[in-house]
Amino acid sequence: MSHAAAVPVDRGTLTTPPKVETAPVTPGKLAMWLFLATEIMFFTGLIGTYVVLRAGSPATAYSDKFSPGTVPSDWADQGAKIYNWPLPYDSATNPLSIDLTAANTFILICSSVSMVLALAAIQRGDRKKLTMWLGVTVIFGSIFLGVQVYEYYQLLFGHHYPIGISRSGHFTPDVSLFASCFFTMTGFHGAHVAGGVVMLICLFLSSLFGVYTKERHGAVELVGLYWHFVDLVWIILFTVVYLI
Amino acid sequence: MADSHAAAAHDDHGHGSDHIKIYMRVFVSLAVLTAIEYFYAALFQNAFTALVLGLLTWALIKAALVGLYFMHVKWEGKWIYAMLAPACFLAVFMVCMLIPDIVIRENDSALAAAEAAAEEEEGDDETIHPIATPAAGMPAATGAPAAH
Repeated sequence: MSHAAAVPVDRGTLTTPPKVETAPVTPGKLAMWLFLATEIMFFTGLIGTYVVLRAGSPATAYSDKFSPGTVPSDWADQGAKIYNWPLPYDSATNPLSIDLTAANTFILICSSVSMVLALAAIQRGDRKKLTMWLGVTVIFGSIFLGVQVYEYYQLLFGHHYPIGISRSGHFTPDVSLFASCFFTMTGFHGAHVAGGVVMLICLFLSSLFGVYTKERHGAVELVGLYWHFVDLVWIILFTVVYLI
Repeated sequence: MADSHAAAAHDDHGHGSDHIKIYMRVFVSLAVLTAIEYFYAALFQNAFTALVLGLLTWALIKAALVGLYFMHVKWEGKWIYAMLAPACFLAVFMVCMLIPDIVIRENDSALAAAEAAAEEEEGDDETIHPIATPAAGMPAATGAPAAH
């Protein structure tokens, strides 16, 4: 008994495996979510600033008969209507096309769906469907960007707008607070979409060469997270900037 | 290794090919909500409060659908809220802190300018009032129609 008690225990021969604690998330996904958290703060800063500036805009900032910021004190005698901010659907003060942008919003939503279908395809191990859905996502994203470029061109150079929108007739960032807010928010979002399209093209080309497999497709998931976030931000921007 | 871990994690919380039906339902919901938003905005364009409350509700539902299902937040662990909650709180907090500096001060300056203009008008009816810019704060117009 005493001899047996003196024998040292050989820990290498224990049958119970040591308990290994694994992280609940991959480092890549954690990094992407941290990045998206900073993006939340960035876009909330932009949208929040827009809301605050709009709320603080003077009652006579916009009018149907005077250019922004130049409404005289006798505006009532001159039969003008005044607003603290351009109203949606009011062509005298607001140049934005809700019809065009609503269609563009739907296109971005479609791109989000094709992206999530691409991820689902590679999770099943279906490489062909991955390539196909990534291609569809690239096309939808490019259409969204193309429509936004067309919208910018019409606003900046194409159309000649009434005096209530701009003294020069063109909706450039310097004509009003509304214009500068609009171009800042949609411009930053458009830059994010452009970056996303570039990443999607890289994914698409990689998928053509069979880089991704059922077991190895982390990049598809990470770019997908970014792309859905860009879609989510646009849903809010479309509502706040165009519809309200 | 990280990718295989990710694939295993997916299987664990089960969003694979079975979820395509859910994705399509979310897609239809987003399309319908976008259409609702479009017509709601046209219908309530002159009722500002109803417009804001309604549209923000539709937009937040759409954003939640994208986040929960397309970004897989619904199937992630609680760690995800450690990422999202501080960012959302700080972002909203920052905006709230801007309100007293911008909104209240602008309204105060507009009110002061309007009072000054009214006093000036009493003294001399022929006075031409200076044209203000939005950044400087313009004279508040009393009885302004359709001003929010």
